[in-house]
Amino acid sequence: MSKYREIKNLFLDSLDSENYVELESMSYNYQVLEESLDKPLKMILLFGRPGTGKSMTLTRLYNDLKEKRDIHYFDAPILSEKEFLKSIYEAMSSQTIPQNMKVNFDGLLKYCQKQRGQRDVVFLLDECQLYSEELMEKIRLLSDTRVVKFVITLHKTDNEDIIAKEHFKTRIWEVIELKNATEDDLRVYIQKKLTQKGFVEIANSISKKNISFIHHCTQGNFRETNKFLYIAFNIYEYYEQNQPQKIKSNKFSKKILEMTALKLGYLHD
Amino acid sequence: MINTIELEKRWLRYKTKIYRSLFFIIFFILAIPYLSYYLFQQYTLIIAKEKSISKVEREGKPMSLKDEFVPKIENKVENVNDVVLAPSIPIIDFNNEKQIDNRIAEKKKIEQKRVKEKKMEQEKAEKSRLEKKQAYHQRIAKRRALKRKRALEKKLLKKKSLEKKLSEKSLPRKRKLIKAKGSSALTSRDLGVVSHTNIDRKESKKITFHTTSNNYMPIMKRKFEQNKNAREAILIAKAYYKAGNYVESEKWALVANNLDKNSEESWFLFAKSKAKLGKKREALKILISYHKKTKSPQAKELIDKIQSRSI
Repeated sequence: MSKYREIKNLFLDSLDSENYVELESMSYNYQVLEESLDKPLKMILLFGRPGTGKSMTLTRLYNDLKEKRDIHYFDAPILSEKEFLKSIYEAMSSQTIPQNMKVNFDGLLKYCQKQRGQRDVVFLLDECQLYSEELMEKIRLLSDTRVVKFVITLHKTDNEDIIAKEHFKTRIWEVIELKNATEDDLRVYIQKKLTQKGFVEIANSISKKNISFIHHCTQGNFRETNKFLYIAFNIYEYYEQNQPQKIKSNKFSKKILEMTALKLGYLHD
Repeated sequence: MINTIELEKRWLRYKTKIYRSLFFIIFFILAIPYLSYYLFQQYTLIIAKEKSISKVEREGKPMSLKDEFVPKIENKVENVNDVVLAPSIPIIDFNNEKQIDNRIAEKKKIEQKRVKEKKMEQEKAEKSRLEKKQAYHQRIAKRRALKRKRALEKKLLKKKSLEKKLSEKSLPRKRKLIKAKGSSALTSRDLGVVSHTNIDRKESKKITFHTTSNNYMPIMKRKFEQNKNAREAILIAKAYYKAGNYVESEKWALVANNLDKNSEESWFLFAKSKAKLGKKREALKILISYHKKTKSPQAKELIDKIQSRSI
């Protein structure tokens, strides 16, 4: 298998916890989040621009705590109220509800209230900006039972008005904002990603200038950076197979970076 | 799979665009100092020129341009021996020359004609202008003559009325005529205007005075006092002489003579009054002395009359 194909696959946008890269800023946020779960909070909001690592953080949190705590992760938003309530009930009761039956919200509330003081269930909800206001209201009511705790993620730009609403403001006690990666963060991220899999030579060939160029294009967005590097190594793979004289192993090609930027529309010819 | 070849082409286009813009930027950066230097030089030249011009204007005398403003032209004298003049053979097309000459002659003729026509027109215009002027002057002269004629007629009418009044006052029963010489009463010019015919100027003009008022003498005396005119004194003397008051006529004739020594009438009236008063010797003495001085035939005639006692 081609070396560059392997590297290319490293930057595929996956939520695999194995691919998680420990960054300084990320680890701080992660710690805050972990500590918040121990507090008697009803809701925790994790928000930031797309590609700042919200989903990755939730995935890592789930993987780290799934053995220790009663924690459930809804990585894809459940938009139907019926399905959402069913999923909550199934997760809490560990029972499967038949297809022809539905969960009554009042019944679910009573079920939660009965377990007050006995259980502390955590639900991790990703992409909450897609939930309807009605459903969000029901999430709020469920969190009021103090049996269920929600960690929700929101895109900073999208549904900021939901957070601004009074009834939500009073309940979200912990707000963690994830910011775009700085140039240093990005360098560490790329180098760690490569060195984790043993591509030290390639990691060393990427200069500060190259990182700066990538950061300039992607604005520190991890998803965009992954995409950028995936295409860049794709081009490398092509040259490796067809014109190997055009690539140098000790120096990352600026030409390939510019070609990638052209391909992704960061530059215009 | 990504189309890398296509991407490479795009990258080449992008690079050329970048380098082109870079080239232009560098070119401008390099050109700016040169351009500014050139502009500065031009500016200093203009300023220097303006200064020199203003200096000339201030001082009011011409100044010669500085050597730096006048480009030096070296008078290169080329080697004369190197220059060889090519022999030239003049070829004249006589037909063409003739045609050209004819055209010139025609043009000249046309121009001469034009000049003549212009002259003629100018002369005509001048003539008509003169005629108009003459006609205008004639009209004015006629109008003036008519005015004078009317004025004269009015004067005559007034005189007639005065005469009537005098005759009525002094000689209520006898109508007496006062003779007046045309030359003394009217000028020859006036008479010419009146009659429009050839007048014999030697012939005396008779004007009849009809006294219509008894106040003739006081009026005349008042007039005389106002004007002190010899003519009026003579008229008074005449009136007294006609009326038979020879003392008064002698006195007024003397007054008139004192005012105008050349007045022949005053001399005659004085002499005639003296004669009438019986002082014939004195009258003759006066007339003889006057005759000696003036050689007047009228004086001679009067002397004869007094001597023959026909007065």
